[in-house]
Amino acid sequence: MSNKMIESLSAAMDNEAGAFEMRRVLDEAVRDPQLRDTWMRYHLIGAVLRGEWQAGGFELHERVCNAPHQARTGVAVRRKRLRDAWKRWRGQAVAASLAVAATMAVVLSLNLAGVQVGEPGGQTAARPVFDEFGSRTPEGGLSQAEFERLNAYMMRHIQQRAIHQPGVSPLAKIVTYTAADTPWQ
Amino acid sequence: MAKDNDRELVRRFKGGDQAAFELLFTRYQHKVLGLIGRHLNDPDEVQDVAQEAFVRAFRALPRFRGESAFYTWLYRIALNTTRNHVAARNRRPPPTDIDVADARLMDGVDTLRDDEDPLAALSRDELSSEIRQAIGALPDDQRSAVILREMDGLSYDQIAEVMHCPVGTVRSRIFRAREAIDKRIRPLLE
Repeated sequence: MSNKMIESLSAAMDNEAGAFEMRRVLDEAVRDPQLRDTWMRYHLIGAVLRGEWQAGGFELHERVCNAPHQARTGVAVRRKRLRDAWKRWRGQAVAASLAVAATMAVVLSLNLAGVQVGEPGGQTAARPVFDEFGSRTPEGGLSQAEFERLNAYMMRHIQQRAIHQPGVSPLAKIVTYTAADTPWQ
Repeated sequence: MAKDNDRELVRRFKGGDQAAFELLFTRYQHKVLGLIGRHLNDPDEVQDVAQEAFVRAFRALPRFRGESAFYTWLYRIALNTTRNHVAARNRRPPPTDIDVADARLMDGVDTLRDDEDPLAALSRDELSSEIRQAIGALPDDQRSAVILREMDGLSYDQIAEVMHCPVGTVRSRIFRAREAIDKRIRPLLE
C-alpha cells in the first residue's frame, strides 16, 4: 500500500480522481483490507469534523458486514437441524416397526401353539383381582377384606410419596387421610 | 463525480464483489445513522434500524437499476425502515403501566431519556478531541484545505480558487492533512 495509492484513495473518496485512477484504486481497495480500513478512517475523519459521527458506528460496521454471512449460516444450521431431526425420526420409526413386527410374531406363534391370549382357560387368562379377598357386596361396594387391603395400599403409597417428596404438603395429606372419613366406610 | 464513484461500486457489487458493498457502507453509514437518529431517541434502536436498513439494501442492491443516485435510494430504504419500525413499536403495548401525567412528575426523566452508552460517549469525545487537536497541529495550508473540503464541502477546483494554488497542490495538501490526522487516531481505533 504505497503513499501514491493512498493519495489516489483520498482523491477518489472526494470524487476528484480520474476515471482510470478511480478504477485502479477501487480494484486495489476490494483486494486490500488495509486500504479499505484507510478508506473507513478517512470517512470517519470527515464525519467527525461535520458532526455526523455517532459512537455506534464501529459496532454497526461489524453487524452489517457479518449479517449477510450470519443469515446464510442460519439457513445452513436450520437445514442441518431438519436433516438431523429427519434422521432421528427415521431411526425411531424403524425401531417402532420392528417392535410391532416382533409383537405380532409372538402373538401369532402363541395362537398357533393353541394358547388363547387374554381368554379364560388360557395360560395367561386374567382372574378377577379381588377373588382371593372375598366377594363383592350386593350393593356394588367393597367387601371388608377389599377395603382393608386397599386402605393399607393407599397408606403405603402416601407414606412413600411423603418420604420421597420435600415439603409439608404430603405429610398433611397423611394426617388428613387417616383423620377423614374414607368413602368406603 | 460522486454518482460515478458509487455507480462503479454498485457495478462491482453486482459483479459479485462483496467488498464493494463494504466501501459503500463505510461511505454512507454516518449519514444513515444521523438520519435514523433524528427519528429515534434510543441509540440501540438507531443501531438496530440502521443494521436492518443496510441489510435490506444489501439484498435489494442486485435489483437497483441506477435510475436515482445510490444515496437517494439508500436514504429511501433507511427512511422506510425507520417508519416501519416506529409504526410497529406504536402497535406494541407499552412495557409499563405508568400514566403519562405521573411520568411527567417523575424525577430524572430527562436523564432516563438520554441513555447513551457512557463508554461510547467517552470514545466519541476522545476521538473527536484527538481529531481536533490533530487539525490544530497541521500547517496552515493543509488545515485550510481539509476544512474547506470536509466542513464546507468545496470541490478541489473551488479550494484551488480560494487558496490561489493549483488543483494538484490542493489534492496533495488534503492528502497530507488526512494522513497526519489518521496517524493520530489509528492507535485509538486499534
